[in-house]
Amino acid sequence: MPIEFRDVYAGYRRREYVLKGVTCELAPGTLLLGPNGAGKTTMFRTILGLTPVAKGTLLIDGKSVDEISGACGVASANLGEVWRILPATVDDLAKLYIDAVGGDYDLFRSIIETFKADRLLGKKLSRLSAGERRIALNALALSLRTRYVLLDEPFENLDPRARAAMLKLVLENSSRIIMNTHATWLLDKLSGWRVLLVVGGKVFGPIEAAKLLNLGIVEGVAEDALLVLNLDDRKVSLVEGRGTPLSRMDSLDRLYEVFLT
Amino acid sequence: MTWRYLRLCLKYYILSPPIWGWAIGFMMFWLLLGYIDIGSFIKNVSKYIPSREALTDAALAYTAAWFGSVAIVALSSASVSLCKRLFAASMSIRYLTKYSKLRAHSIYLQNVVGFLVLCLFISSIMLATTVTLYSKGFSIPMIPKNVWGLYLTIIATGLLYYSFSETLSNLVLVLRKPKAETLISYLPLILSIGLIYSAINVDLGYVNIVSPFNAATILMIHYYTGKNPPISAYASLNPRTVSPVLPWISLIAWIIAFSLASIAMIKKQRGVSIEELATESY
Repeated sequence: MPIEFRDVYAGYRRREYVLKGVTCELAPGTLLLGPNGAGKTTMFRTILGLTPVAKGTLLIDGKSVDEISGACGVASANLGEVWRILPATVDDLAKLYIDAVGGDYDLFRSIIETFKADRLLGKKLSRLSAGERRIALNALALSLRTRYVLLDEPFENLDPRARAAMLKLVLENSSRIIMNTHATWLLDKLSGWRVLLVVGGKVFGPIEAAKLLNLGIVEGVAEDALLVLNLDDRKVSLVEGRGTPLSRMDSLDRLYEVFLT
Repeated sequence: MTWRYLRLCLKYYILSPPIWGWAIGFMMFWLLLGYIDIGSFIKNVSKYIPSREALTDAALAYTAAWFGSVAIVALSSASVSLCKRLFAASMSIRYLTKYSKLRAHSIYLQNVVGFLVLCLFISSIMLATTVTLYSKGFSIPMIPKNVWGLYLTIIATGLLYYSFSETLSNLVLVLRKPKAETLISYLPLILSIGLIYSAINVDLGYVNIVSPFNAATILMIHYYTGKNPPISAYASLNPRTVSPVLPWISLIAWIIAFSLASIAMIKKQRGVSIEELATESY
């Protein structure tokens, strides 16, 4: 049974919701795609119990997230706040969390070796460069071997070589990974993944990754729209065969440029 | 229950520069100031205390007052670090209690034990420094009369500062005022210094019992000297005293009150976003 959002409102401040009535199912092999600030990371935080559900229901394998306790092996994530229990070294954090959550320390070391990043094991997360930190957090999340590995922008700040190695790792573990990104360059590598578009705290879709590549974006509500997105107070439509091709956008942040053209 | 978290807590404390710098190094400096002042203390009191036996008692009271006040302020410095750490770890604790075998009570227990070990470590360094320096200064052994009582007070003081720090770090989350975190984290230190250093030369009377920091200090003086706890100026020659039962009741009541407050706030707080959490040293 996957992760199920039922009309979920979530946020930190009263009546200032980041998620505004999200209804969707998340299973491994799902990509959340959306511009910065759309609510992708908040969806992950809500699953992990870091952001409270204000309204609606969030079920993890059929159980309400508020009732989950001591569920080893269910969810892990590469979010920094998950790994802040102590300002310890990366290696110490790996041992602590693998001991507490379950997981595979050898897998952790092999991922680190894949990136030739042994030097970061003895450092605190705060002492790492942005790219090293991303590698460390991805390795930590994957090494817990949970049913749902939530990867938040796993390619951000990586150099091209590390990005390719990370993509290979993601594809090898796609049966466990739910990923979010605002980058669209990787869509053609994720055939078979289902994509949910997250815009303005709402979720649209799902749509197959391969199909999404052939879509274009036009302003307004098109009659032949496969999907209509609300961007602030304006609307854009995803249509086939015309408009600004989604595949030409490096990042979904450029969605807003549709209004400029 | 895994104890790896406790081991990491202890490793963090032992390698923490603020602990070594402020809670140990700076407080040893204060003990050194008390040692340097011994000469003028002997000169002043010998005019009023002719017998050697009375002078020994006065020297022990002087030593105990310095140890008690410096040890409490040292522990309050450690509690500043604790407060910041508990605040920064608040999100991770939420994750771990949901998705790991670590339960909330287990994390709480390991945090408490880790902090108590730190308190005993710091206090032992302060005690060893006090005995060494002040024995040399007075040329008589300045050994505490009741070491077990002293360590019992240190453990109770550790519990007080732990429960106070837990309350304060959760207060920041409940009030949703992460920017006030730095100021609130320093409250244990500010209150301790203000109340204890005032009490050295000023007669605060029953504030010494009502204030948990002063209650802990006068209990340390009590177990160091073997005499009843002073409730007038600690440094005076004949301070008014009370039964040790009263400061014990106060200390235990405050520990219970802070513990209940922190548990209530742990249940009430709903976290803040990562952008609002402090990131230094993480």
